[in-house]
Amino acid sequence: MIIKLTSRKTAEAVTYAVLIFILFLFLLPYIFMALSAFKTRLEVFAYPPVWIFKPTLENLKTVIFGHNLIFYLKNTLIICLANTALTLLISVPAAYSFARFRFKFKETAFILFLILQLVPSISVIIGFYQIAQILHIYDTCIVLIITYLLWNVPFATWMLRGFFEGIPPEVEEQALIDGYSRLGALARVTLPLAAPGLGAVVMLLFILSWNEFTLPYFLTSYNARPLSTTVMFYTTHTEVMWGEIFALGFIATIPVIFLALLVRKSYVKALTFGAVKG
Amino acid sequence: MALSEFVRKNYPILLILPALLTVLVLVIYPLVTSLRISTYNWIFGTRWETARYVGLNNYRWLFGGGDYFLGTSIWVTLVYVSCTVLLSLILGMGIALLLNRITRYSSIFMSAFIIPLVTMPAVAGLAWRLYFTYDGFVNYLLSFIGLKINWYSVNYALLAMVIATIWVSTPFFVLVLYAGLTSLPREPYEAAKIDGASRWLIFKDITLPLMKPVILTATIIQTIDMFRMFDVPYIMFGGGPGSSTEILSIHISRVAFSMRYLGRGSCLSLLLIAIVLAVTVLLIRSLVRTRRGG
Repeated sequence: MIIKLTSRKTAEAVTYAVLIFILFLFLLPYIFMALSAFKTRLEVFAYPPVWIFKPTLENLKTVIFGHNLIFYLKNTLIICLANTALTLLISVPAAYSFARFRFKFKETAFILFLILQLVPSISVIIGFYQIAQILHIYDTCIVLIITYLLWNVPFATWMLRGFFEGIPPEVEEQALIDGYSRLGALARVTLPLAAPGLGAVVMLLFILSWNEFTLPYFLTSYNARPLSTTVMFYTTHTEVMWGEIFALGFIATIPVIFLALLVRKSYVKALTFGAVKG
Repeated sequence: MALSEFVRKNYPILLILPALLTVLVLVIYPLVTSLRISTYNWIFGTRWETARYVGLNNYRWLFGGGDYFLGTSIWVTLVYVSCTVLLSLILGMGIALLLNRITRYSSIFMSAFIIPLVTMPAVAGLAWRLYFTYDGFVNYLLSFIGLKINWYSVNYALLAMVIATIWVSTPFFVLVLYAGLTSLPREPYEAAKIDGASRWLIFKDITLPLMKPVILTATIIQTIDMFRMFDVPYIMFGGGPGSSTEILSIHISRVAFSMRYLGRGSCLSLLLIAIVLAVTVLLIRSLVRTRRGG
């Protein structure tokens, strides 16, 4: 009995050790990047890599004050916030309808949503480029706010449908009896109850828009350039400013990682688009 | 009166209409436009008014052998997609099984695995670009087992791209498969324990069949995603050296934006959509069949 117990304990210790090792390997690229943000130019290229060094704030300073970080951050925030608001405005009624009513072709329409958003971003970029040129919205925040909807609306609708279905319809019926209209009941009863789910969706939408690369790379040049493509312009014909790139990368990833950890459970659910009931 | 009657009757559909219209317009419009642009010779950077109608010339260029790199690009795409999906599935399944065996701190592990998934693609791509240089971080790690590889050569660039992609896609499998494992029923395992079945038998005869729908769904999502992948591969190597890492999405960007043939790029865009659609239909069919069969 005692032998069995100790062998099980060793087995568990081995499992932990293996997991920690794998996790370490997976986090190493990120850790190394975060460390390099505080290295001098020579230390970034040092071989073998240096792990212990006197941290410098030079790179962060250059990125924040020398390269107009605030301007790109402002663009990113405008795009993320406006897109998230617009997505919710469109998706909340749709998700509510999918969750509460029965109508013809409901599931067909729902699947159509999910299939349409499979379109590769690189395949729609030329069409978007043309319309942006014709409407004179190339290199504005507006073109990004609108085009992101293509992926964000189906995603939010799908997520919110799940949250709404988790709220019993009885609570709304009471509100209807009390004299509220359908939309009134949605706003006063269902939405507050769905607030945690709604919050998670907002953060996930924010993460999606914050990280998006392909669309802003081809649809903006300078005026509406967000953080997610700015880093590409630290590579010039003559040099690649690695210290600055890592500093910017560090600044740009920290808020998103923080948000993702806050909504970890919803994040896992979002990954599967409904495949696993977790 | 008539209007309010109409609204009352079609309430549910009116609620989904804005969402449906938004997505339809945002997908259909660029597709129709691409179809139109694909019959024009339009140079990137010039105004649309200057484009010249050329009929089916771009399609003749694409399918008549004018696009020298199409065959290579399709081959590279297939290798890239199958390698990344297969390797990250195996790796992810292994890690998920390990996670399922520990009793404490599993939420900390799960949280940590989110980090590669939400790291900005531009940052991840550039970081990997530096790590794969000759005196870079990857070769430093490999030097412990006596290896030093020129990752920027035709032979190894695709492998480097696969490794960088696996870094992003394995956590996806870990999180999804672990969620699947924790929601499995307990009874079959208790019965197997009483029968004294070996660990391998339990995995093969209980876990794998029960997990089949989850594994298949995750694999389908990931396969479609890999066909659409653009950012990290583009930033790492941009298709080079030569065409050794030129997956279809990068091929499109090269033709449309580097060589500036937007018309030809539109043909290729439509081809990629057709491929993604075909793959989706095939994979979903196989999923439905196994669900019915099992």
